[in-house]
Amino acid sequence: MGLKGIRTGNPLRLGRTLALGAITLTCLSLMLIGTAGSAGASSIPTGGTKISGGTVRWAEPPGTPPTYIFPFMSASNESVDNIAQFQYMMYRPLYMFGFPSKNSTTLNPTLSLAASPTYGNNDTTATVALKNYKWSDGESVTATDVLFFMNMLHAETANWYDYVPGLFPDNVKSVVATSPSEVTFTFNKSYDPTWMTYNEMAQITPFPSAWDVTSTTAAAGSGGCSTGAYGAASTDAACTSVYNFLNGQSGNISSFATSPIWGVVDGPYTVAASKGGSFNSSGAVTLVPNTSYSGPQKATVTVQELPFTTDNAEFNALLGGNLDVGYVPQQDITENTSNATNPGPNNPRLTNFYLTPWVLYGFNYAVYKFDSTGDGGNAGAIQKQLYFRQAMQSMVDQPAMISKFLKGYGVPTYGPVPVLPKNNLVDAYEQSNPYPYNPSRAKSLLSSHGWKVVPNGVDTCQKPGTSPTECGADIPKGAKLDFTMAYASGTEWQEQMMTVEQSAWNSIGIKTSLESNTFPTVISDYGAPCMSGSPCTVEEGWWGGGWEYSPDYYPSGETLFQTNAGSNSSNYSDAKADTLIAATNTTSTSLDSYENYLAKQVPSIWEPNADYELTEVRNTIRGIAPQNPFANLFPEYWYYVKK
Amino acid sequence: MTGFLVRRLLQAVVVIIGVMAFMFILIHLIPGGEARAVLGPRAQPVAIAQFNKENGLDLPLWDQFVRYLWNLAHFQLGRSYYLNQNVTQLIATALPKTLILVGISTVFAVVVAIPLGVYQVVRRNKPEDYIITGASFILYAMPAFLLGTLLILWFAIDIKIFPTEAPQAPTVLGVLSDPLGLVLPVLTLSAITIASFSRYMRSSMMETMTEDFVRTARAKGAAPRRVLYVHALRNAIIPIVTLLGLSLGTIVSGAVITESVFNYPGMGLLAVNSAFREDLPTLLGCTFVVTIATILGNLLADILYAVVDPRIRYAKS
Amino acid sequence: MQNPEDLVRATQQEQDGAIAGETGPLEDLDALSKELGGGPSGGDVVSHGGLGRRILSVFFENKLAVAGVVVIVAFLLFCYVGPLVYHTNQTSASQALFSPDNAPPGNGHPLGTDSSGFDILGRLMYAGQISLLVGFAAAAIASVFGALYGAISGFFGSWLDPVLMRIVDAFLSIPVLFLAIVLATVFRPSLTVFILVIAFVSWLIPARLIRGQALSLRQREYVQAVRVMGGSRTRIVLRHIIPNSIGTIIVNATFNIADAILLLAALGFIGLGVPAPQTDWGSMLSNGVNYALDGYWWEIYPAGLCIVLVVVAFNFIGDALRDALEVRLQQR
Repeated sequence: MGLKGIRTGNPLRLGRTLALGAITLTCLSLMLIGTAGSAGASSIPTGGTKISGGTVRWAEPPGTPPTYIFPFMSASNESVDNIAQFQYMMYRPLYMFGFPSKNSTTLNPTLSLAASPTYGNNDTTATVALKNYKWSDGESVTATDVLFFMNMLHAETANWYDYVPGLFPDNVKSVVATSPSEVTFTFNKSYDPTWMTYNEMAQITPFPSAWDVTSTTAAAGSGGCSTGAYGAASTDAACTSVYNFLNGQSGNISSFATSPIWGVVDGPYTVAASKGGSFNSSGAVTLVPNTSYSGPQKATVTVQELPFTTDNAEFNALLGGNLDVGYVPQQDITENTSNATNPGPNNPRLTNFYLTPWVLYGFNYAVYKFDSTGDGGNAGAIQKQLYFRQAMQSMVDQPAMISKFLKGYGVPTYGPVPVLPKNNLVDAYEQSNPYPYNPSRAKSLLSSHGWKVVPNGVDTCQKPGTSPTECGADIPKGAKLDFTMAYASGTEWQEQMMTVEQSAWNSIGIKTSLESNTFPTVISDYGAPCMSGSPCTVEEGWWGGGWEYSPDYYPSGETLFQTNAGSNSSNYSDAKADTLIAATNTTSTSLDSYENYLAKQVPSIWEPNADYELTEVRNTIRGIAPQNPFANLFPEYWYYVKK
Repeated sequence: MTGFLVRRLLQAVVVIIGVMAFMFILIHLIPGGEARAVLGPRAQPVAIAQFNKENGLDLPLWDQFVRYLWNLAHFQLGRSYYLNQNVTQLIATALPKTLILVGISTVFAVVVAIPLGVYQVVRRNKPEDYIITGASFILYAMPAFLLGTLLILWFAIDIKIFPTEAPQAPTVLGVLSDPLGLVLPVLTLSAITIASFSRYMRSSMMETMTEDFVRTARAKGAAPRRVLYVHALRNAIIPIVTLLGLSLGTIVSGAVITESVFNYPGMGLLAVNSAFREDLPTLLGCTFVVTIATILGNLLADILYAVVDPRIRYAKS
Repeated sequence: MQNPEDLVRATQQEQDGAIAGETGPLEDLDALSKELGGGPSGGDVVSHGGLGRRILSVFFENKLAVAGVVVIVAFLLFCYVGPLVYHTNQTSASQALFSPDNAPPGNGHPLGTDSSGFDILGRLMYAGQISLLVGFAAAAIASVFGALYGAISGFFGSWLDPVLMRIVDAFLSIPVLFLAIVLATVFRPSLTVFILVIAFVSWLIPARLIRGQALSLRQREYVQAVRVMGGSRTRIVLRHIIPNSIGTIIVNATFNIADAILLLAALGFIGLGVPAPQTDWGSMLSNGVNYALDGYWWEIYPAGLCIVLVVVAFNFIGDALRDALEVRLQQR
């Protein structure tokens, strides 16, 4: 038992990259559901007479209750549990990505509050036409509400988790409400429309004018943030006051259900106590249907989000019949599956439930530190050598580890674009796995570059220099391959994979010592890029959560791999990569060149990405599987059936 | 006796200040300092500088210490950035739950252990005595999480008598109105205490039985049972009070494990979760409150002991 | 929890201000003569012929204690000699990748394999080394440090004693597991850190107990005589107080070892355990408990049994040693 499970299969988003996707093959995803192609796969039940109403008790991932209700937050409050599994159910984003009961990773026009933006003037302007949604206080969702968000964003970039200097809102010259239902954006130059929609506009959540206040008794709109002109200093000042007020309100957890502010919703659910909802400071949340929701599908079931400290406690509750939608901990999976998105045979104790794996659109990686002064000062220089990274990657046997430690419920990473769930942004080259497990190739890469390979010892550089058969720039003779790899403790499969990789690297003389630390420490030491001016003594690290592409739904890499990008943990800097990334943002070329280049470059150690959750759903519930690849919940589509 | 009480009270105060000092030192040992602990590992340097200024972290150490003591004395324990709540708020919800669990377990342990010890003395060196001694040793040596898991497995899953988790109700009344859910956690938590208390009762009573005054009572013709219960038991119970005070810390520690196994949202679970997330304000706040509770418990035990033990009552002050 | 009787007695000493004499006049003369003779005196006062033998015979009369010693010796052999006889891979996880994981006993694995594919029987030996090492080391450090601390505090008295004892009280008030968690969170974990953390929560009781002893010994005439003769206080502490308390120290250390093993297991359960690839019985057990509902009993009961047997054995030994100590005390 143990709290080791706290982050089982729970990737942490480090910021959000912008996502832009073409239409995925929805037919294919539908086929995946009913298939019984693999031997012993369990299938997801269908059919039954629909019953209206009922309560679904939903298990929160372990140790992560929702804690923040205001949809404008800084990095410290940014989490799937706050955003996708709580706020989005009440406060709809302008554009919704992914669909209920589908693996698709594209823009969802039906659940968006506006039609897709229309680009014009050589892609320097965008016009957004709002649909006719209503807030629960009777007001409509208008252009002013969009302006409200943009104004606040302009004033408080320091407190917006997804802020990237130079991008939203810096690249927006003006935002104007040209009519109550239309907003026009003007950018500072021409951008690729799909990138702009998927990665920039995707950040917008309209706020009601009821929130434009600086006290609970003030009149709606009196704060001046929603009505001010975008970019004006007075607007910024007004928005800062409003932000401070709302942020303070969001710091008082016991008031979430009772505050009149948070009771104004435009999504299918609400926690307002007056409607029967509740928010308990230990993390138990009751979400009741919002009867004035204007979307295509009103909710009928009430959702009770229940907190658990460990996944074993949750499993006990599942077995005890106290949950309707929960998850089975990784270690209690009894048999393998052939495909990360297909359910294999279920745990025999769970006779009242069916298994549906929840795969997110993301990838997993361990970081190098290219500015590192470790390993006698040579760590950075050695890691900068492509052949070294290729050798390291060739000792990582992802399929074997997925099969053994994740029982098949994991997706290998071959490059920056995820290979599953199926999407057509990943190309053939990346999918072919450029660096399969190949110890002899790894050895020859090292020896052909002037290293003396000593299995289970320490390799040393025998031929310093910069020619193709020598070690490389700034690597002296006698330099050792001796590294320390830090990883986050608490997740069993990650620990197992780390020990396997360690012994694999050791076996070809890349001496690797493991250092286990708590998750927050590893994220803090390795997730943030090394700052120039402070010594960079760390060498390699894996916090285990990887990256999830949300709300950067288009995996174009500007936040991860561009020189000096905020989430460029390794301080990776490559001129060609920068050019390719810039091209993805501003022109409508495909991702292929960028993707292939980075797959070849292996700027990080690609690691297996465990399924986010192995969801167990009560046999009598429909409308839930397969689940949204951005971790969103759509309980308004869930329903009970009579057996 | 008043002298004794006053002394103990002063001691308690000194101890509390000592604990506060310890916590203050710890906060300053964290790499990155208090700012990083409160704002989280992803805080920007600018935010950290601002926090330091706002919270007087650029003041001299003595000044900071005094402010820290002042805050603690007013139960301002800081804020958990992770859970987005004041630590005091978190503890206010969690503390009553732990108190219930610990309270019921302690009472249960005493109520079971004393008769058990007496029974062992009555049946000394017979098979029953050995069996109970053996069981005590094993219970004492078994890790609590193993015991808890086995109890859940056998009595909540294989045979569905009890629920698999402790009562989840948010209020104290709610928890108490689900007695079935409290059975397994209380059993797990009190197991070690019962084991050690009954051992103590047994050896203490055996020792008392050989004392002079017992022989005198027998010689005067008192019935064996009277001797046992009136004389020996009464004398042996007095130190139990001290033992209770000393065991309080252990029982509270045991609560950490029990709460984790049974998913019971008390102080122990809060502390463990905070440790994992490196949410130091909450962890230290928990530790502080729990320590105060333990000190108070000890104080209470000492007072009770002073009341009960005539030597103290009539001692010179 | 430590042996309750001694603890209660020590606490009551605190409260009553009562001081119980623990040595008799014979020992006093002995010690005095050694001092005068200038010869080596650090040894246990009782290692004088008949008494020593009597204690050992009392000890060995206790069948449980003998059983305990046998169990401990057996485990030491099992953990340290076992791997030399029964080779298994316990360190190369990539090699373990190729053996079946969670396999039941059989097929060359007498106790089955764990979730990484390591042979469980071999892993018990490997983990036992760590559990026993941490247990012994932490208990040793705690006992030495605690005894010195307590001896100095009790003997020097005046203002030093209350200050030192209040520090002990402060740390004693913090429930053990909380203190351990706080320390393990602030200081990055490694095996040495663990030993130190466990030692840190364990030195408090020996300090209290030895301080009590020191208090009583201070009153003894021979000690006062030594002072008069010009013996330094350090000499008295090191040559008389500590040796006379050896009995208490050892009894306490025995219980300390058992508690250290249990504490390490508890920390492992919480997730603050020995960092990979090393493991201890507690981590094996807490990993195994994950599979309680899957019926993989071989990952649970063997490790649990090891812990229980060793802890019970140490408790038996400690109990018997304490009884033997009573014998010495009764020699007046």
